[in-house]
Amino acid sequence: MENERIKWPDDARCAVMLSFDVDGETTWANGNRGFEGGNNFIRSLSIGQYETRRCIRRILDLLGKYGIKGTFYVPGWVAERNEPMIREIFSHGHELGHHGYTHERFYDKTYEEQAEIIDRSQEIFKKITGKAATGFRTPSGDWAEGTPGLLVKKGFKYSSSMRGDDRPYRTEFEGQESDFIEIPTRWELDDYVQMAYNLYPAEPVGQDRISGYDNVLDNFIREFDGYYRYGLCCAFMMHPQVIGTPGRILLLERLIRHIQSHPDVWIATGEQIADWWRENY
Amino acid sequence: MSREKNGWKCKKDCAVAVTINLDGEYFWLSMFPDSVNKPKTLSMGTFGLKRGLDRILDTADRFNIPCTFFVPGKIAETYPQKILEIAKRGHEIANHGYAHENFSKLTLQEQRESLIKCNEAVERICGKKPVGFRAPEGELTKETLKLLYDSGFLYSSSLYNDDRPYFIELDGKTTDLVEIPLQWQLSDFPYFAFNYSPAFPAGQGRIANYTQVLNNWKYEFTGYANSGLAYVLQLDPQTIGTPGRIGLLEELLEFITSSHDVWFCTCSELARSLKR
Repeated sequence: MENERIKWPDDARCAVMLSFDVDGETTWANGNRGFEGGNNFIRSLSIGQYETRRCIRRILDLLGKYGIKGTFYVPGWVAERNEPMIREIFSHGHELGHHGYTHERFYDKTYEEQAEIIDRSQEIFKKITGKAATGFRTPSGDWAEGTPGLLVKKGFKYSSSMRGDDRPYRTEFEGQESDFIEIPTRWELDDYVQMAYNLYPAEPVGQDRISGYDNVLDNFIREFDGYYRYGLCCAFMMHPQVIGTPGRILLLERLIRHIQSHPDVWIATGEQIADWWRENY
Repeated sequence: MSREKNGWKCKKDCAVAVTINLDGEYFWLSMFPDSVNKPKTLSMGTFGLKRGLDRILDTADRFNIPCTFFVPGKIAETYPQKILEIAKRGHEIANHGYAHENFSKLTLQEQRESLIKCNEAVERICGKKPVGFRAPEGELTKETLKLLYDSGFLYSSSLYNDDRPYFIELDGKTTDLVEIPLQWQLSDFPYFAFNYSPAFPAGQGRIANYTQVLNNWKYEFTGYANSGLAYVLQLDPQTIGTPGRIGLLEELLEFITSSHDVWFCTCSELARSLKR
């Protein structure tokens, strides 16, 4: 009873979005805040520093090697401290998306605070690249009730924040479908929940082990194969500080080679996928 | 091996009951009540009804397997067409509480009301009252079992104390209420269910490796088949129904059907096969 096959550009069988949340130090700084003296911690922040120092370079080289355009969701705080990096991502034709200013949890913010965060990061993107973001990925946790309406008001065309589907859909407002597209992703397509680690503060909270790389790759490939089988939109959610180590970048390369071993896969940015969905569905 | 323990003699190599908990968003709401305003968290649950369920139904059709769906009453009320479709395709619908409540936290009267409201919701939609019950996540008490017995239920499938069905003892007497026991290792969510915030599992353990989970299920099946037991899979479409995981269920069923001659049964069929 699987629905009718989705039509993708150029008769592609399925769509793949390779997205990268460039959180840098922000998530660690937020986590440290709950600890006495946490504002002075430097070790956990250094995990995030490694991202902009080394990992982004490896991601960009890899995407270049395979001719892939990625989507980078970057908190404004990270963007304004890494202008050359942002310019390079932009000039290579990758998409820059909104990811808060310091990776704030929107669920906890008032409408006005949310608007302020959105504007602040958009100004930073405009200043560096001349272009504001059209896509939004909600940072940590849930967004607030008014968030999607605010995003539309602020000119965003799509979000990639939810977990409830395996293909894009039109976000509903009061039961009415809108032009604001959601490209949902899934925890099983996320590198962070498999391999991110820190002892203090604890990440993950129960300090589980770092997953075996081959096991992670096996899960990713099994999921991709399922999306290909059913012709869906496979939105991988990567974090350069996790996937961009010398060893794990090889994992990502194997995944890309597996995806590209199928000639009929449309690898696209969030904006391209959202535009296509809006025009056709 | 005691193939006839408890008066139950297995038909064929072993019995296999594929059971589905259709928890949807109530899986999250019952654990984290404040997620009522968290669309991202709830969307983990709605995925099960929106996408996972159809994949399970198609797999069941492909292997011609009757399944047992444990459905909270509120899910039945929210998705009546889905429930009707499940029943039409020959599967059993059983009681899983009204709002997926933790039964140990309800008074006896509240437990009774939860059972009745779920039964009524299912009966309204399918014209048939559930005869089986599975306690939602959380706990249950002896009181719950007595209530099931007094309410005329045929079976419970809530406990973890055996690998074959048995008659439940109440007040020192064996009753005709059957327990169809579960095993965590034959479930999907201990391996796969995940949410970052609110954290599930509580310690944010990693998502298990798919191939190794399939291997666990195969190991156990071989053991159950060797001893003629009742292999009860416990799955939820929000967990097993992703594009990549439904293939695990297919591979498991291919393994089962190609290696042994098994009796695929619903829980009520399994319960009725138990002779006093």
